[in-house]
Amino acid sequence: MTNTDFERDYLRFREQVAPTKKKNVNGKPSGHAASQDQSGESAWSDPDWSILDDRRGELPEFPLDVLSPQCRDWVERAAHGAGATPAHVAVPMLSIASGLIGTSRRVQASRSWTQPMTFWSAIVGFSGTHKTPGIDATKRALSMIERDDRTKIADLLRKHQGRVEAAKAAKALWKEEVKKAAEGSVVSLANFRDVKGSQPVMPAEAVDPGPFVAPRLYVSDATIERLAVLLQVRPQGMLLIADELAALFLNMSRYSGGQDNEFWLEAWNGNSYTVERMGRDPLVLDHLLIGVVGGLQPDKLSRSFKGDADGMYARICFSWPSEPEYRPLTNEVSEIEPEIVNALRRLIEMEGGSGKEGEFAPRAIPLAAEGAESFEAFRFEVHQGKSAIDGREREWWAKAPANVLRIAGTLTFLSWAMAGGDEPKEIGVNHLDAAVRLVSGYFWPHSRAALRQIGLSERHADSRRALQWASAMGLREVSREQIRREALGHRLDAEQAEKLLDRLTTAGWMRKVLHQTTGRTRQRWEVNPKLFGSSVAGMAQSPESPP
Amino acid sequence: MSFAFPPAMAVDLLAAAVRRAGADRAREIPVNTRIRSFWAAAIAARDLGASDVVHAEFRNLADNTGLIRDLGRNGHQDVRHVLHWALCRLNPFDNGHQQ
Repeated sequence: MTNTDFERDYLRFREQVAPTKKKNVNGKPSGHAASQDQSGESAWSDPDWSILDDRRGELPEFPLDVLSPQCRDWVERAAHGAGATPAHVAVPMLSIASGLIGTSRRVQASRSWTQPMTFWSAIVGFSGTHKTPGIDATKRALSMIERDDRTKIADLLRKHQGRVEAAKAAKALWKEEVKKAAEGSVVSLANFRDVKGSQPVMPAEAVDPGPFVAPRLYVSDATIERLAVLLQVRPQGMLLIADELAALFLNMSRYSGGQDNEFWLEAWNGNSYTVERMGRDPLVLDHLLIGVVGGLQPDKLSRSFKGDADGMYARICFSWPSEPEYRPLTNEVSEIEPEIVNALRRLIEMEGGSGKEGEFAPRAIPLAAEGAESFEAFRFEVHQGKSAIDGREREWWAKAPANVLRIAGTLTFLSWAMAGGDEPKEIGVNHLDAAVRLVSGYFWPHSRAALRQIGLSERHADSRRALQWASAMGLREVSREQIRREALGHRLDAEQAEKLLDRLTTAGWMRKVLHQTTGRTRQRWEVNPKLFGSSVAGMAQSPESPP
Repeated sequence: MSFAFPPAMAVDLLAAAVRRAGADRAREIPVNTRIRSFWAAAIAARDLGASDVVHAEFRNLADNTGLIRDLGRNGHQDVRHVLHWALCRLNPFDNGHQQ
């Protein structure tokens, strides 16, 4: 919004509630400010254009120079192949790469503060703006890796079956030993369990290893219990990749009264967590870490985070790319390119360290000395900047240092995975500075635009959707039922649809007309012709469907 | 290395909007017109900052220009009500129709 926009809106609103008295050509004061066109027919007054404003505003393009040359080259080619902008491909790629590293490597800012690599991202855009093709450019490579690993999984299954049988045999032997120990000497019944039943102690190899769980790299939809089980076989973390993330966030409060909220908030932190299960032993996770990557429609942002006082949105790096320009198809890039497959595989196969009992243990990767100085300068700026903002923006900004560390680590290891060589031992200043640029210069303005949508009322979103639909259908006249069924997909009842049409009438976009027929009078609404000359033409979304 | 935070444009626009709104707050204008102009400025400026920041700035404006005092005993509540409706894009002067 500019000063000029404010001035225009201010004068318009002021005229609505405190109209200045104007004289008409006869010297008498006139009433409403409707203008007269040359034909003498009463013309439409200037409508409220802010309803159609997508509120995205001017946002910076994705800074491709933060990526290594090999990465940048692949992103540009993949974007061309997907018909998307580089941002549509780069943001999910970075987020997916970060989730694959997970907590196997942790960026160490100081002795007391480390961060896993996983960062959450969401591509914001209306339906048909190439969100899914951009995400699929990397997701297809992951699917290919999972398919190729079927042989390995079959081996793991055979080994698991061997352990199960060995456990059964060990248990049978142990039972025999307990039986023999119980024979002979006589003890009182009260002491029997303590003296005889516990000798000999059941060995560890007799414990049933449980059902086999095939390791997965990502899911598109899963219950919390299933995710917890999958994390036990992939302790460094995994990914949830969804074309439409609104379903995930909306369902959190719908089915569990907000309990899922706590799980997902912790899934960003990567700390230990216990999943309680009905009728079974709880699942203890040393590291609950799940990367979230997907798309979000602007009109669903408001509902997705409605009433979310815990700041789920503060954990997400939003990207709202501009719509891609038309480009002819190309045969120069295949659906799945080997360099991205090889790079992702290298990240997947990084092993964590081993703890004292051979369990998975993350490895810390420190910041290089110059990188630590640069990071400290950024932290100071964040601290100072917090006093200038409030509410949702403040919550997001407060997480910026953590996101910088995660992204810096991801850029470092992704660059290594693409180029090869020895694994990095520290996070260099170039990657740290690149992460700062990405967070403060790209994700911050994009996230602010997205966070503003969260405060947008549903009624505004419905009004906008109805106008977009009428424009796309080229309808000069609509009925209440058309708006209710076709534009809004039955989301509103008749009374609510009528009120929406009243609001659009007040805003100057519709005008009620009555058609007299031989039967009853038909109510219709004329659409302001100015709608059809606006840039909104062609942006109609499909009718609202439940997420 | 300097960081572009907060973007200077957003902070200046809100301050400029408040200054512009303050220009129409002359005491000789009837208070009914002044409260309506105040609402129009707040609803036009609602996107220039976080809602609680906009709310605070306009409340200060109402205080500094004497609008609260001139509204009488319930001046504070009236201004709070008008600001709340403005930030919700509602018109309190026209049976609550959305703008």
